[in-house]
Amino acid sequence: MNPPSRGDWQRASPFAALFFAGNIVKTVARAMIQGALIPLIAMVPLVRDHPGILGVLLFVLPASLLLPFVAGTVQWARFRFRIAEDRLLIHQGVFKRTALDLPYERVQGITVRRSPVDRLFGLVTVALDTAGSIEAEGRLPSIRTDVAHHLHSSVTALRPWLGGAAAADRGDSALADAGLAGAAPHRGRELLKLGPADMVRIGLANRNFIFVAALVGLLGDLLQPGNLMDPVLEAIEAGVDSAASAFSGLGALAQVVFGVVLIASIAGVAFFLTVTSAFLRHHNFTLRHEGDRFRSHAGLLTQREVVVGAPKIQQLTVSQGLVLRWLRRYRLRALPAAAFVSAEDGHTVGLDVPDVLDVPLLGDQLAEDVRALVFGREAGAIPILPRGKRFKRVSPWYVRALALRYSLFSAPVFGLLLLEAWRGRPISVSTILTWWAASIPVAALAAWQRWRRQGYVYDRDGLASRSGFLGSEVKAFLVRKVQAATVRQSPLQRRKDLSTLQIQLACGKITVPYIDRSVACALRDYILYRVESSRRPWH
Amino acid sequence: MAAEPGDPGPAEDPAPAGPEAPPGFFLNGEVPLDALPGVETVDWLPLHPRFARRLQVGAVIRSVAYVAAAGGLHITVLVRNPGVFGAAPPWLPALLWILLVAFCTWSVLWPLIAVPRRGYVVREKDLLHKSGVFWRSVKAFPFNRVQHTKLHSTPLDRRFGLTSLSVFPAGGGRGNRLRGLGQETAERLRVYISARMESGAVTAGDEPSEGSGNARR
Repeated sequence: MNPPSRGDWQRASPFAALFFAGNIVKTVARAMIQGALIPLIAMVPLVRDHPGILGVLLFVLPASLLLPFVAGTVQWARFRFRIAEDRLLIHQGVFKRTALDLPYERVQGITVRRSPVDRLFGLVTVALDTAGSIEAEGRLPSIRTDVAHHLHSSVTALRPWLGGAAAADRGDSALADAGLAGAAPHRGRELLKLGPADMVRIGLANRNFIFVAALVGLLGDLLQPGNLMDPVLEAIEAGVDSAASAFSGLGALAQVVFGVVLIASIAGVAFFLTVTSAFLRHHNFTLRHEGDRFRSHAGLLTQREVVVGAPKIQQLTVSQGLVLRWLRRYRLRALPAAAFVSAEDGHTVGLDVPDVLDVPLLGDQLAEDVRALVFGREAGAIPILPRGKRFKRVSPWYVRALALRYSLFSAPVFGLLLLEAWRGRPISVSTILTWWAASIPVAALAAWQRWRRQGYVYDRDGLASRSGFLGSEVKAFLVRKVQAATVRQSPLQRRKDLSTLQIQLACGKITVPYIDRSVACALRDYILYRVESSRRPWH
Repeated sequence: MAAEPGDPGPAEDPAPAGPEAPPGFFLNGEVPLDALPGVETVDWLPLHPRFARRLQVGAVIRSVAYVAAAGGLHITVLVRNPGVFGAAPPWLPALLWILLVAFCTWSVLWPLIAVPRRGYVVREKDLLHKSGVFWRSVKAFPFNRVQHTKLHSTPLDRRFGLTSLSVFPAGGGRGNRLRGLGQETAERLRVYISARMESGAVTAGDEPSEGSGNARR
């Protein structure tokens, strides 16, 4: 088969079907984590009590596993793209067909990924990161490296600052392999390189660490005696039974030791999972600064290279959880514009998560350096680290508002408990009222902690907002890149002459709550002034 | 904006060229916050006089649908199958009906309270939109950040001669919708914003920076 000439409509490699199938699996998995995980966990005791359901599940599960691959193949069959001189055209979709027309003028960054399958067959997945009036990212899955090179040269002909973004794709696949493995002679300065010890730190700092530990514990709790579904669970049951009988025969000290070992085991599993995840995602992470762009490269199996121009960055976010605070490290994300709006009907089709520049672990000096490189001479007085002394506190009335909000959230729960108690359930009304009363100081304490973390600071060019509960997060931006500004007032705020300032950037919203109304209005007016008189492009 | 050392860079935004400014030198004068225009002094334009009535008609249609659905549910559950919720207290259906009627009445009357508190202002450089009765907000959309605009009208809107104008800055989502404009007003507004967007794009490089904002009007 003759390869299609450049400029013709082309198909992606058949392996792109795996990419589409993977996207479907990811979407389903995300939906399950967000909404269906609890029902799934609830199914465990259901299956335990009604083993007949297991047969239905055994039929449904393989079919549901096969379905993404069938759907992925159909999506691949409908996928066409054309690399024109000044734009990329993509036709795709089965039921809802879409035609993407992406002028290279709008391209903000080029992302190159290589899955293990891609590497095996000399393919590459290229995504053009964009902002503004387009329907979706221009993503070409599993295309040949010469096609990727053609796309890259077409884009860089109109967007020279992106030059070198996909340097690894030049020439044959061997060069691409070498380039993506980090051996290509990149210019610029290497800012950061993370090693195996850093992967362990990232795994420790992963907020999913606690979630995974809790999940493992919950599943362990559900697999309690009485579970007779299959031999595996029988074995677990026998183990639990024997452990329980042995446990009851132990002395108090031994029980404590056993409990500690059990918790440590669960934490160990969670730690293993999060460290593995860190290795998969961030292995050999390198961050380079080349001209006015940043390039990051990382990944164990699927390698990912992200190139973002500093002028395109809308917001810098530096976060520090408890573990990172202990390690005296931070996480930094540089967010480019991410609005995907259909030019045809004006609908926003979703805020896709672009390939943001994500530095999972860095020290305070490097964070300051990146801030200086991104903001340049602007916003020099804006601290990027959460522990900056210049942050102003918001009004203490914020504590009351938050405590009230937390109490309102818990009110339905206690109301239902009271209803149950009133109907003669074992819990007494006085007990529930005591719990309710006890929850109010807890809510107030939580609100006070949130207020302590909340802060804001601004100078002539930039604004930063800090928030958090146990950890802290600072979001900083240049005011001339603001898209819209809103001043809100609740009834409580009106009584105290306070307001909430909400800033809309091309990558999301930033809120500064409970500041003096005069300050909020003055900031809003100043931001409008800077935006409307700015002669610089915002992206 | 990253700027390499030694790069003179483009002129900064507020760059007043004072009489003693050496040619080619970068100046960045102070801008007193008091001199900036506030939105408190603007004259808010009300929405179309028939907008409240349109919202009320919509609320009545929805209320009829809710009441019909609730009535059907009532007949199905409580009249034909009274045993389904045998354990429920006898006053529960009456309470639910009272809540439904209260909600429908509130939704029909609410536009009379909410619509007079909404308004908008078109300025030279931005569009202001205020809304809210208890939780009040004033949103500002600079024209040079608007990506595109959209007019939208439902059959009921058209019956009342109304149109909605949506303004889409980058990352804007669906929330920047100005409802309750007359059709002619909305079209004129859309054309004006489009013209301002284009002129902003054209003159972005040569317009004197300071004084181009609302501050100098």
